[in-house]
Amino acid sequence: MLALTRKKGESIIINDDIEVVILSVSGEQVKLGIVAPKEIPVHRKEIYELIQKENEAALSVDVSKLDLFKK
Amino acid sequence: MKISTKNFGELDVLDKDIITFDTPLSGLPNSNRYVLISKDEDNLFFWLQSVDEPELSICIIDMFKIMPEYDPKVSEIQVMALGESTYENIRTYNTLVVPEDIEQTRANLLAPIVININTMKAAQIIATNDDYDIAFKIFEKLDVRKDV
Repeated sequence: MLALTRKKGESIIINDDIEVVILSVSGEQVKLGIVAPKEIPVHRKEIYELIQKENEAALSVDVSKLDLFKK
Repeated sequence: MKISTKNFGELDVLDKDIITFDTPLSGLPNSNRYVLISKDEDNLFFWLQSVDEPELSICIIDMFKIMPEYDPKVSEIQVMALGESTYENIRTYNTLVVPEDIEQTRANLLAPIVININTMKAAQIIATNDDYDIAFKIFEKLDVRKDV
């Protein structure tokens, strides 16, 4: 992993077109600003982990369970 | 071609019915080719069955059938990456989890699976709606439907 030290107001550039700016630092919390082209999705990692968990859980649905919902 | 499925034995599928994900579904990295299987006459529940891995069969639901107001806002650029889209050639499904306690049945409203049925390309796209839950409880909506 590349580790870079930055101060408030400084930023890094990824792939020429994505900028990550340190907006503020307060104790353990860091506020980031991300400037990226619209086609680049940016989300918190927890969202991806939750989606992964739901996708995996959708694998173990029992076919017979769905019959319970039939009219 | 013949494929083995998790729930429905061997099925004959046509090449044109194969749905391709450029990026494999999160958590399911071993396949990017699926077919949509419908065994439900109401067309509410479906199975996204992997062509490559018989054990990969994901339960999905057509949320619009039970929640007509469901309106995920997804990035136009991500939808266009699946090919030219019109209102008619885009289908949206949500992963469904039916636990032992069926009252806890839930759907992922935040990250719908979007399929372009012309190009047969698909992606799971995170919606920008603030109020859509990844694990949205839908039992009551299904229950209401049972009483129709």
